[in-house]
Amino acid sequence: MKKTKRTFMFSLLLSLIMITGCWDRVELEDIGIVLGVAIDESATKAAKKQEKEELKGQAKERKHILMVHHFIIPQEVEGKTRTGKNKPYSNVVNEGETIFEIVRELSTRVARPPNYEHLKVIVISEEIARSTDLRDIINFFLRNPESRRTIKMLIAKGKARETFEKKPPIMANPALKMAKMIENTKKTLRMAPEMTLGDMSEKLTSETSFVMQRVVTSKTGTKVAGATVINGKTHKMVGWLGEDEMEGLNWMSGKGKAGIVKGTDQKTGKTMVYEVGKMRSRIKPKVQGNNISFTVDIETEGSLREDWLEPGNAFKENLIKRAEKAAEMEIKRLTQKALTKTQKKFKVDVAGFGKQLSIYYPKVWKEVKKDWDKHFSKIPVDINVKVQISEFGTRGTKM
Amino acid sequence: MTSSLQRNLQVVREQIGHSPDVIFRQFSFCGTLWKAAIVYIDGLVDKTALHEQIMKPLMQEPTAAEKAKQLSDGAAHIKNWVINSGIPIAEIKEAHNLNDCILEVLSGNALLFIDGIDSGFILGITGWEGRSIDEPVTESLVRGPRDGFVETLRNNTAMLRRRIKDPNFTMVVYKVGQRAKKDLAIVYIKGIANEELVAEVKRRVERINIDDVPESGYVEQLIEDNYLSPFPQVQNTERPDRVMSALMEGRVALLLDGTPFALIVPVTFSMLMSSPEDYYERWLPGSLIRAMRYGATFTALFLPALYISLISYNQGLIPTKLAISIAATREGVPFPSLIEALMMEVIIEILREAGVRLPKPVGQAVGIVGGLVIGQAAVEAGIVSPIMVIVVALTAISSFAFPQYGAGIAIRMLRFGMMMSAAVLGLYGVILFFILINAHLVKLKSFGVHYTASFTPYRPKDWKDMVIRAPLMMMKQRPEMNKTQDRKRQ
Repeated sequence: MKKTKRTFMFSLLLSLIMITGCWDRVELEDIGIVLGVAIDESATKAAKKQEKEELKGQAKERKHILMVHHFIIPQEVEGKTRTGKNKPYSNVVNEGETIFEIVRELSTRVARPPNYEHLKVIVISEEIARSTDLRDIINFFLRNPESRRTIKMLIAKGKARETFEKKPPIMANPALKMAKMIENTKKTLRMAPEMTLGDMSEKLTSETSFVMQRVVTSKTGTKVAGATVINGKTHKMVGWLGEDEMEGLNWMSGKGKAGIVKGTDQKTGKTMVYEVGKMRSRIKPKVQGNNISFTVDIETEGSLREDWLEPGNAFKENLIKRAEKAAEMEIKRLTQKALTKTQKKFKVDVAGFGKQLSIYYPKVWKEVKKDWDKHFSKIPVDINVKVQISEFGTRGTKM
Repeated sequence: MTSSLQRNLQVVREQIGHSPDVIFRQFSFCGTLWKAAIVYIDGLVDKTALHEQIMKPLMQEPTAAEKAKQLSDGAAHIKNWVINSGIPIAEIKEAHNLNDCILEVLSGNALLFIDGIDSGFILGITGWEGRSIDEPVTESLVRGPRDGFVETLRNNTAMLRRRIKDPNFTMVVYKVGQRAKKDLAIVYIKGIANEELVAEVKRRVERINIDDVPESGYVEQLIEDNYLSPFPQVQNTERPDRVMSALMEGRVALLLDGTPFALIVPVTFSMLMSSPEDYYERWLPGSLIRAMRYGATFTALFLPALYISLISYNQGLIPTKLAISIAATREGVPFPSLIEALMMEVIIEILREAGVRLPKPVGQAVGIVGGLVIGQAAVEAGIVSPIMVIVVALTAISSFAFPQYGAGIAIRMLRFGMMMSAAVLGLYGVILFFILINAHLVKLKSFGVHYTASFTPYRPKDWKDMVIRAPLMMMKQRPEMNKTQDRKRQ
């Protein structure tokens, strides 16, 4: 009796393993590895027509999304059957009203189910970013257990799908290339800081305005530079920051890691190039009565890397001083430019002024928090820059 | 036993005389009228000793005075003469029981009967051809003593004796096997080994009830704690130095006549992972090599299972570039990863088995052919992917890194279970199976000592000699887990 009971229990346990197991087994070579996703506004006539009809009927705006899945074709990357003639990737385009709908519709087009575990970049087009709440766009990816929160997010100038269509130089795959390029924030100040899916969702939820990296596709290839400004309130894009302005913004927020500053010597009008070693910026809020003001202290230490002066002898103290001065002026100009555009034109705070205010004056912050971006556009900001050149490379003179 | 020579001989003859190698030699004692007989087994005795030290004095004409004494005092004098002055050999013993006498003859001694005396004399002149002392084949070292145990128990105990001059070195000999009656020596050091442990070993040995124990493996299986466990709970070794260091840690060794493999109890997992060389080398390389061995264990146990679960379930955990290249190479492979891995692992096991059993030169050929077939042809035919070959090769090499063959087998067996659970539940299954193994290990005991000692139960003092091997001057105490009587190493 006891023995049969035990056998019964055992077989029950065994069946538990045997029956439940294997249901989601799929071999690595049978999945479609998606490395990149581009989201565009649909431009087909049918979609436009449908949109119009719907607008008439429901007076409700409905967007049509066009989505590009950038699949990798492993055999073309490496493997015995590689010919070298075919592209090692393929972009599958389909459209629909929601992201998930599009993803599921994809199964009617490709044999291998898309797998987002290796998804590296999501590129959203300008059109979508300007017109649609970004929370809706990224919602699917946040819910999907396959997609990581470290997926890099980009906003494309023009059509997003174009970014995946150009075969890039040096690297074989456009998506991988872009993912690598985004990390180059260590080398230049002209890029906005990396924005991942997780960070983006955080910013959107907390309703803070922020900048995202911008990707531009031209005839010669794709370029990641400048930034897109996203308004935290509307969750939509408000405008671009050029490369100069981005540089200025990086100086202001102190988020840059390395880069160069091309200063102009006041005395001769010639160019001097300063390389950033360390940079630090401190935003200090000041509250007097009802007036809020900010002071930004930027301190940086680095080296003189190139000068177009004659004779340019760095052993003379004076030259270093002049170079410092030139860099300071340039940094100040860039920062001012970035500030003017974000504060006055877009009326958003993307450099973290609000955060500092909330730290120093929490009570004041509570009052202005609600319409912070609006308030911020009227607040005066002072900028102080201090540059210290501590070295000049392995040669001080030109000759 | 009677005083009649003929009657005694008859009994002996009836019992063992049916075989031609049992020699009965009758002669007249010292040229007198007394009859005597000697019984021995040809091949088990040292013939020169028999001729020179026994037969010669027994057949020599004694002096006149001696002769007179023999005639006057009779049996009593002869007994005295044989034991005390007549026969110049070291081992001589009087026996009153015929069955004992027969057993001694079967053990290789010679038996002397003299007419009129109701006892037999056992003459210890055993001597047979045996293997000379060789380097142990299964446990070779780069640095360390080159002698290994042989098949003769006496030689083996002598090897241990030569290594220790402590009077507390103790040896208790049992006869095991109802029919074969082999000598089994339980060896320990009194004053170090825990008495309860010694008593337990003795108890288990006494309980052995079997016809014959051809090898110490029989003893191992009959005294181990859990016969269902895949892990060996008794360590076997061919190395006297290994036995010696175990004795010094308070363990007990068992030596069986007829096999070069000695047994050591109790055993822990960390003991199976160590090699005597860890101690002979300086502590830094010793520790690193030992830690590497632990790494190899993990590889041997997990690698194919990880491959299966990463390929079939958790593709997101593979770095993107590797995933792409694996996907490319697996493109033409017709089997799911489990079948692929199982196939290769089984082939490797078959190859290994074939290589072990065959004569050495043929075994090498098998290795080459097998390696070629697996490494090259299988990949080219598109049956398996190149990554799989790397996985299998790494696993096989890792499982060779065990200093102990027996422990290696345990891991090899568990590997297949691991692969199955990986195929059913992916990484989750691998972890479940690992937990299962751990649960079993912490429960397992070998002669009262936890198999996972001293991780569980927690005895950090013993950790100096587990994954790493601390410098010798830091290991001033014997392992706590053995509960030795004398804690301190001198």
